Amino acid sequence: MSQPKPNVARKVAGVLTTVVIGIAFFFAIIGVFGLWVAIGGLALAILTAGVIIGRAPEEGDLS
Amino acid sequence: MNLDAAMLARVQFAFTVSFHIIFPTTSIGLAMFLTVVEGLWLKTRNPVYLQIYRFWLGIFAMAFGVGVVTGIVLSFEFGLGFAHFAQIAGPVIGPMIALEVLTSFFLEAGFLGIMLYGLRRVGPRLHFFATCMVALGTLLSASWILSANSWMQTPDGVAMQNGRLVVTDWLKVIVNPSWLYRLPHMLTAAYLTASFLVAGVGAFYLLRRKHTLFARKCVSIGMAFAAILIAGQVFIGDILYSTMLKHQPSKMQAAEGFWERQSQSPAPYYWIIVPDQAHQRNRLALGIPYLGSIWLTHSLNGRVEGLESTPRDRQPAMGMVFYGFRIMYGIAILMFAVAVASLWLRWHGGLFTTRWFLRSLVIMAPSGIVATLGGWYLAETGRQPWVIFGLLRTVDAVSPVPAGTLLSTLIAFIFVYAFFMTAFLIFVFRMIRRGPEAAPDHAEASASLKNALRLLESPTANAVLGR
Amino acid sequence: MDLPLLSAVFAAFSITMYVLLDGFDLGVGALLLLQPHEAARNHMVDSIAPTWDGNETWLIMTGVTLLAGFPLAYSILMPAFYVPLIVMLLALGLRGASFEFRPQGQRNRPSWDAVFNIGSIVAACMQGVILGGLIQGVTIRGDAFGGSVFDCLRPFPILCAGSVLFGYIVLGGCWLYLKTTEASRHFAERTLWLALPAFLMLFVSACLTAAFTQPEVRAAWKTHTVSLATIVGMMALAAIVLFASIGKRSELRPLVAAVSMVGLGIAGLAVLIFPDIIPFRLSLWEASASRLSHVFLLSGAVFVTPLVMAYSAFAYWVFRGKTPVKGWEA
Repeated sequence: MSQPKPNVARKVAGVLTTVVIGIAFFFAIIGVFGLWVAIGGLALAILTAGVIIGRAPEEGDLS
Repeated sequence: MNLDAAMLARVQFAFTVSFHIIFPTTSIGLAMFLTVVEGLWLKTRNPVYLQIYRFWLGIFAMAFGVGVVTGIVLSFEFGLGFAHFAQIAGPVIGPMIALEVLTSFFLEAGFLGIMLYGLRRVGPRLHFFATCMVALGTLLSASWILSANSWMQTPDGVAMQNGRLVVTDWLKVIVNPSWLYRLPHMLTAAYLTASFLVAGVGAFYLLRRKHTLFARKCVSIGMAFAAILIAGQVFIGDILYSTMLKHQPSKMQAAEGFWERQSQSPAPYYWIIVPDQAHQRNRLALGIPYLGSIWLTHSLNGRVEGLESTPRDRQPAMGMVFYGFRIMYGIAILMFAVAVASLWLRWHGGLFTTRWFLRSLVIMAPSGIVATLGGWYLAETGRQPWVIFGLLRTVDAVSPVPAGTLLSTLIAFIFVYAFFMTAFLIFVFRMIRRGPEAAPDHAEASASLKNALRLLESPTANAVLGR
Repeated sequence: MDLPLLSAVFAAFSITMYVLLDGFDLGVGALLLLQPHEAARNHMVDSIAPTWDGNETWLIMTGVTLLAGFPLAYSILMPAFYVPLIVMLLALGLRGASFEFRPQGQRNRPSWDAVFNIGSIVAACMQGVILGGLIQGVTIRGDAFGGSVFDCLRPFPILCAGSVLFGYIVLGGCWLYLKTTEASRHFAERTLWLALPAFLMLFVSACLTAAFTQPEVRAAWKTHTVSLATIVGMMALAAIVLFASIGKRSELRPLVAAVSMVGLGIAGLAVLIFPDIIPFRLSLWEASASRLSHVFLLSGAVFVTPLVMAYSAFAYWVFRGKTPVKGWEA
């Protein structure tokens, strides 16, 4: 249905965004922007991970 | 390198303790993993969880066994190689290790028999309790020994009286300045080690399209824990870094690879150096510009303190400290990247089928062990030339044993330990090749482990789990 | 309160637990290759597999109690017995690893049996060498070990090695007699008939040699004649009970008698060397750490040991009765 090109572009954009967000989280958590940003970043990271894990597909979930 | 008694005693201890740490790190992590898995089995009665438990129990048992016997060696080696250290520090770390034996070694040992051999003799709840107790034992064990080692790094609560160390305040000894940061750091390292080990084996099976259900659960559980733990670990690591900067500046100066009292501004982050300790400079230094200032001073142009800030007779050898740190930190970054990738793939549904990712998991399977070794080399070589930081030098702590004897026993250790490692690896790989046992295609809410296991091992059982 | 004395009592308790518990483990291990049938060997190893780790832990407890409470003694004794200790640690390591590696496959099992066997024998012998070396006397210069690491490799310690080895074999035989059935139990019975006289001969020789060659031992006999004679008498009684109960109805009695015999031997040793922690060289007070170290150690010992004994006993109870012939997985 959709052309291959916008799909690939979307995927690349998705990967790049993830990479940038990942790096941002890393820098934040190791304290580059100060202790409070680190704590906040850690909490947000764990929360995000928790949400993503919780919504995982059937064969992989913790039930 | 001069092969005198002092150097040989150090090499021998370094060898035995490096070998040893591989196994308890794995055991502590796997014990917690087994607790989680058995708990999940009890809650859901899904036979996959029992299958996972049985498989990893075998590997855990071997790792635990090798850990115990190599650990006994260490409790005597304090005195064997470093008798003077034992004499001075005995009154301080001795009682702590005694409590470790009483509260954790006995606890692990007491319930390990039930955990390994009692599957058909006790009910599932008691067996789960045994698993929990073993995991608790490993946790307590890590706590005590980390306290003892942390006291060696940041001593407190003691006073020197007539050339002997006397404890003045036990709370200060145990809760010394670095313990509360190093303990979560080591525990997390152990749990990360197990997470990547489990995920790596799961990925291995997925790549070969075998034991699919088992493998998916392993990858899922492994990477779920890994993702959360690595975030926590780099956070704890940074806090620990600041603590050690305050209490052991010489270690952190050596760890970053800078020699001048104040580095250039902005400072790069070195990844490769060829240090020349004799001339107090690097023959080669390659790094990422600006990143040193950003990561180490949280600014764009901050200067980093170099090793020349420490008097020469108190400097650790930069090479080992630097590379220990880089190996540990480098792997942490890789773990973080893999974790982020796992979350992305989980969200988009390719966690179990993306082959490049599964291959990376297989490669990362032993990463926790390598990182832990790197971290410990940072910790121990960075404390040099002290064995008790600021109080006792390593060279003054050595036993009155001739160098020849130390060399012979070092060689003996190398042979016997090589034998242990070879056997361990052969059997682990054999277990992995054989794979987990088959499981029936419907879950039986079994009241007894015995029945559940019989179903699990029944040769006629049609395995949905794929054999 | 004499804290060093209490810590010494705890150390003595700890070494006694070790000798009695790992004694039968090592004894069983030492007998392994004498049993030709693979199934019976599996049976023997299965009888000690669930509890060996806890038993061995008492050895660490003893060493660490010394480190904590009597660091001067620890720092002298470790280098003094450097050679037998390292050999013992390697042997215990090989035995311990064999427990985990042996069940991994049928093909290599005979090799692992050999490793298990040799590891057990060597460990037992080294412990005897250390015992003999202690009685023989350790050279101290100032507050450090001042002799040669080969001082303990002499005839008397080697005689003690034999005594300890056969003492463990007696304990191991009694354990197998209690816990195994059929071929292994029969094997245990035959072993005891030979091992007990061997042990008694070696033990008596060692005692006599010690008295003849070590003036301090003679002096100790003179000072404590009544206690030591009583202990020897009770040991003889235990040995007779042991002899008489082999092959009879009560399968527990031989083990009880053997444990009593060995326990009395340790008690005799304690009477012989008290109040020294390095026999005839250093008293426990001279070697002692400062007060707070003992406080911490003893607090742990007093409060935690009962708990340890309780769940350890529970572990033995879980594996009570005869060891299943087909193993724990059947």
